[in-house]
Amino acid sequence: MRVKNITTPFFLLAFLSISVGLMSQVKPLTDSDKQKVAAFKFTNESQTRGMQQYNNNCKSCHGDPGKKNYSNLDPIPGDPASAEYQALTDGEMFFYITNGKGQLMPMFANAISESQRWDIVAYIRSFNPNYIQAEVQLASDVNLSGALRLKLDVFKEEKRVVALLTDSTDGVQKPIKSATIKLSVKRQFGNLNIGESQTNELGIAIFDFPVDIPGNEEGLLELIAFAGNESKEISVSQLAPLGLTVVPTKLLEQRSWFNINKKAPLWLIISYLSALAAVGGILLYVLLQLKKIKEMNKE
Amino acid sequence: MDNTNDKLNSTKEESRRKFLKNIGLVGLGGFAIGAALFSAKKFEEVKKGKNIRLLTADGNVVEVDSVHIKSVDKDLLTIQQEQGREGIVGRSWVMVIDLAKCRNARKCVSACQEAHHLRPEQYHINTLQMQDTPSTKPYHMPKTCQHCDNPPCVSVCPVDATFKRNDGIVLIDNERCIGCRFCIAACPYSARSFNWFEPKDAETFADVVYDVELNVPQKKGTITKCLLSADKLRKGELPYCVSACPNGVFYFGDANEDAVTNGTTKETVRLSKLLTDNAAYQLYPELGTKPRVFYLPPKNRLFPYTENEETKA
Repeated sequence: MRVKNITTPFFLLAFLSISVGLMSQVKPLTDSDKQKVAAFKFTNESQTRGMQQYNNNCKSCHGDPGKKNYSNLDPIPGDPASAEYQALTDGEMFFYITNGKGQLMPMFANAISESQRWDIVAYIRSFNPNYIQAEVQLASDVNLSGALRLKLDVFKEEKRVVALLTDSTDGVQKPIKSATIKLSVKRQFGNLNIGESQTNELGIAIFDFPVDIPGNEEGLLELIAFAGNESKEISVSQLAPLGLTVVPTKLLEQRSWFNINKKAPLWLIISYLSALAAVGGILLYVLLQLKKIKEMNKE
Repeated sequence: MDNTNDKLNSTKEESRRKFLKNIGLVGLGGFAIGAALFSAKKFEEVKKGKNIRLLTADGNVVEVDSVHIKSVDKDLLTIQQEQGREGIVGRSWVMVIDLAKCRNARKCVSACQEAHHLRPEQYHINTLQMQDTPSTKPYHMPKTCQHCDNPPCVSVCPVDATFKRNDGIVLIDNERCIGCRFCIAACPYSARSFNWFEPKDAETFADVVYDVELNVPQKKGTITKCLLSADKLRKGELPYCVSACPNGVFYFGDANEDAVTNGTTKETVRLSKLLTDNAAYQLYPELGTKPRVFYLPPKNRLFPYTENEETKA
């Protein structure tokens, strides 16, 4: 009996190591993530807000920035005020806060909102006197006049949508930089927002499409991309095979209590009919017995 | 011995006579019924209306007795009843009610009563005043029919007047309803009410063809209940109550698309995310009725609790 018990911890260990291994498979960092910048200027207010978020979510491992009082873990979390941390771009910092890093740092994508994550970046940057924030280009500043053209390319395997925004006023297609493109999916009563992304130098904005948006029976759904500001706007819609295939259930074809007699549950029909048969059988039996008694009386 | 034999013979003869008598009676009865049917058939054959000239589908003019003309087109009532029973295939409507936002404006109530010609004391949707415990703040709760996926009201209806549709809505057909009120007794949510009196504006709408998806005109002696504005949904619009709310309480949408749209802000969000992020709950889920209406908890009850004039009573 003892021998058998020894194997269980091994199985548990194997299971744990597999699950931890699966958990630590974080999203790879891409160039566009690296170059991402905050959509607002870092101010004292945003740093204060960032400090509150940092104290709530980050301090327990990373300690107070600049004091090197981080937890003694393996790997060592490190001090965010250190030169190693400050060498990261804003985009990288934001990416690691969002998606986690290595085997220990968890993701905060679902715990802290996007603007709050940028506030944390602002707070960490406040410990670097040499830091100069990359120029923030607001979407409203982008010149969106002229003959705009918005084109969507869908990559089904990668679940990725690439939008290309160009201006062909002079007959030549020129990419539009730093314009915000909104991607949404058409639903019955409105458009479901999927995400926003800024175009790069090539006029390209990349969207990672969620894997769990339902489409129709063929998995098709209607994408709607929108770019614009007060002066001009452009939108384009396109069917794309990015959705889950959803086969709607026909409630009236189910066997259930609420359905018509023909569609009643089988067990109900069977038990009802057998109850009927039983009552009928008993009546018949009684009649037969009565007949027998009568015949016996005659004899 | 002789005596007994005689007795036997006499009973046998008696029963034979009885049998012949019975046969004769049955035969006579059968003949009478048959003759009646035959003469009725003869009469139907002989019966004549006006001869009418008609153009057939292949272009010939023919003369037909008007008695034999049957209309191929269904009347509006039948069409509406048929499409009303089928529902909008492929849809699965759900409603989400955010109790944190309800301020008892009662615009949903008035919009609903207006649309369905309800008397002021009749409700398809009503904002109830709730207080869970004496020490917690009260809140307002709009309550409609829950459009259960396992509706007890439909199961008990003896005449198939109330029914479930493919898109999940539970409707009532007043042309079939006999007013037995079994469904009122079966419903755990008190979602149904009975037309005890002549409905509002009965004379004005007397000639309107009954629309099963709007339940208008209402009929005295029948049941009336929330329809999730099935007529609006057929047009692709949000229900009356949902679009009337000024406080963004209602979300409505298709569960197959996993998206619901707020009636006030017109903002579309993911249904699954909305429900899990806000700890949504249903009313009496333990009864196994599988309601289609979800409630988001009444958090942030710091608003002043106002009693509406209409609800004071």
